[in-house]
Amino acid sequence: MALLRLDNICKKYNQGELAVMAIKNINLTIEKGEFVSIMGTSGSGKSTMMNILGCLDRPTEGHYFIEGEDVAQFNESRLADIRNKKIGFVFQSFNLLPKLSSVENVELPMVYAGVGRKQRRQRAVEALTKVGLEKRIYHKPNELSGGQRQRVAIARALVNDPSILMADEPTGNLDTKSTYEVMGIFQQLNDEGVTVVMVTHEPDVAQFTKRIVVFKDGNIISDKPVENRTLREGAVS
Amino acid sequence: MNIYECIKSSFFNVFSNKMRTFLTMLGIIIGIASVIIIVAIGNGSQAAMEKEFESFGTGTLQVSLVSSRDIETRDLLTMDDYYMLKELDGIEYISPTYSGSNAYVKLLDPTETNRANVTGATGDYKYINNDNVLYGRYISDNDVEMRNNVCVIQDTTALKVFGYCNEDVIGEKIKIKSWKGTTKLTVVGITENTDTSSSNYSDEYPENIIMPITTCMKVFTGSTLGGISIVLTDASQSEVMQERIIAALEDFHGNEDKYYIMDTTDMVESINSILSYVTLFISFVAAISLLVGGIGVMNIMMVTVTERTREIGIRKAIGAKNRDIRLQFITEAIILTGMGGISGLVIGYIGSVFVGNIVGISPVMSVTAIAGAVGISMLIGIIFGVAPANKAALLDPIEALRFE
Ligand SMILES: Nc1ncnc2c1ncn2[C@@H]1O[C@H](COP(=O)(O)OP(=O)(O)O)[C@@H](O)[C@H]1O
Ligand SMILES: [Mg+2]
Repeated sequence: MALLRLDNICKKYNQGELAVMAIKNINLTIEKGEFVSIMGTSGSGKSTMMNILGCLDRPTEGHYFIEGEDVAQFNESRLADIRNKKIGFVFQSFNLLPKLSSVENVELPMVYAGVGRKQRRQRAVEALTKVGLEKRIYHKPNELSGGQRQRVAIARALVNDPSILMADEPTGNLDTKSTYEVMGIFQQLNDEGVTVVMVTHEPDVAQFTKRIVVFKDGNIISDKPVENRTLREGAVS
Repeated sequence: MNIYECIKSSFFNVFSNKMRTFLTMLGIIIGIASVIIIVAIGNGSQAAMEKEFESFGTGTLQVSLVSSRDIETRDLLTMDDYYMLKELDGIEYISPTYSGSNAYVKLLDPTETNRANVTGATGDYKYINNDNVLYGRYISDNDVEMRNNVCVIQDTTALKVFGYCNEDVIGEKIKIKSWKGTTKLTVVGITENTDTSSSNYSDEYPENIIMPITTCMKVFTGSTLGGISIVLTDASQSEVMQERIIAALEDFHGNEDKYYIMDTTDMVESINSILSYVTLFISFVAAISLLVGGIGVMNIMMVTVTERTREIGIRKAIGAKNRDIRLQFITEAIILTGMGGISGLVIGYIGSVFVGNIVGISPVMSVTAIAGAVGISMLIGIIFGVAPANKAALLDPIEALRFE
């Protein structure tokens, strides 16, 4: 059974009289352990796709199976549960709560999952250690660099042990050094068995992944494995 | 999300903008403080009044002459009226009264005197005035007949005049100074001063002295009564008895419309009802101020929700359900109004002591008022927090995340 399977997914936005078909009849299967990048020009439907994959939005038509369960028409509360437990989402603009410290931000998904206080703190510190921020756990987001903030966001996405990590242009706001750091972390997580799906429009970033899906005008126009993959420093291939 | 986490995070949010929190609470603080002051002062004055009438005895009829200009000599109330009314059926206790004015009593320090309320009465006055005799005896009808120079004083007076209060005071003499000179009276009894207000230990509080009515009229050279106090055998017959007493007096004097009777029970009731109207009116004003305070809370909560749209989006994206968000904002509203209510309670308490001092009433705080104030303010939080909380809960996560 595939981890994710999209079956004829369409998303239509109604803007007044005008209806925009953001993605059309998408069929896509992602297996456990894959590392997929979604590419395409601006407005091609990448974010729309990611929002549906991340259960932040519902498709207008079609079926979306996560581990065999059709979540396409789940109600708000069940979608929230899936976002909380099965999916870790990383955004381009980090989306950390500015008044909370790193560790409190990372604890937040566990607060909604009902994890006890002690265990929450322990797991949050572990997740931050994994992304190399064990020395920054009490820093507020505005005391961290962009790359560090994105690593906090990754720790937050991972902390509930999701089936899949999704990221919409996670390196879009980062400099080259931080971009490579973040991609290195994704690669390492993938090596450890985490399934990763990410949007990027930078080809060199996509080279870190294992499979590239290209969107154009709401359609998939290409879906290929990556050749000559870039490997992070210190990786054992 | 459990309720403890919710309360913790709500407190965090409420305290992260202290100035706004304070200004938002202000309406509730003022509303609750005024309710507390009104209730405390209202209860205080009611209690004070009941005390006043209790010492006088509720269910007492006070017969007196109307105050009008065409009063003739034959209309005046005298001891003969007392003897006449005493024979009427349905009267349990009856005492004529005469109050001496401008009297002073000599205190322990012979150079000092204190103002005295001198009341002339008969033996029945003990029951009319609900007097409790601690030592000795009350004045008797024999004292009235013999015009004995005796008196009954209160325990507080005994302390001020003799420096002690026990059996030994009985038989001692006190000196009353009036415009006619000084009169020596033998103390035959000491009654309990039941007025518990602190002022009764101060020197400004007059000494209450009761002596036989005949002696009193002799000392103050009077021949007409101040009035006649009556306690009925059956208080429910008050109206019928009032008519009979008036008729008997008019018959006796051969006049009309010269006397009136005040029933102290009616008076307590009418004052209480005036008081409750005043309380109701001010409470209405206070309720409006609470309503305005509640709308203020709703207004600020709406602004807060808009400001925190992105935060709401983030929380939803990582798994917060609509009800988690709703609960959080309602909790914040309850914390706001609840803290406002508690501050209002404290300020109201201080305020009622302050106001009580000015108007001379000791405020009475009730548990009902305290619980009610806190309860109502939290209820306001719920009522006015629902709309903003729903607005927050129903935000679309994607739209909310896109909000700048
Ligand atoms: N909320 C929306 N309302 C209306 N149209 C939208 C909305 N979101 C996206 N679109 C439209 O859908 C298309 C795809 O957008 P998007 O998925 O954001 O593209 P990408 O992320 O690839 O740049 C665009 O034409 C965009 O204008
Ligand atoms: Mg996009």
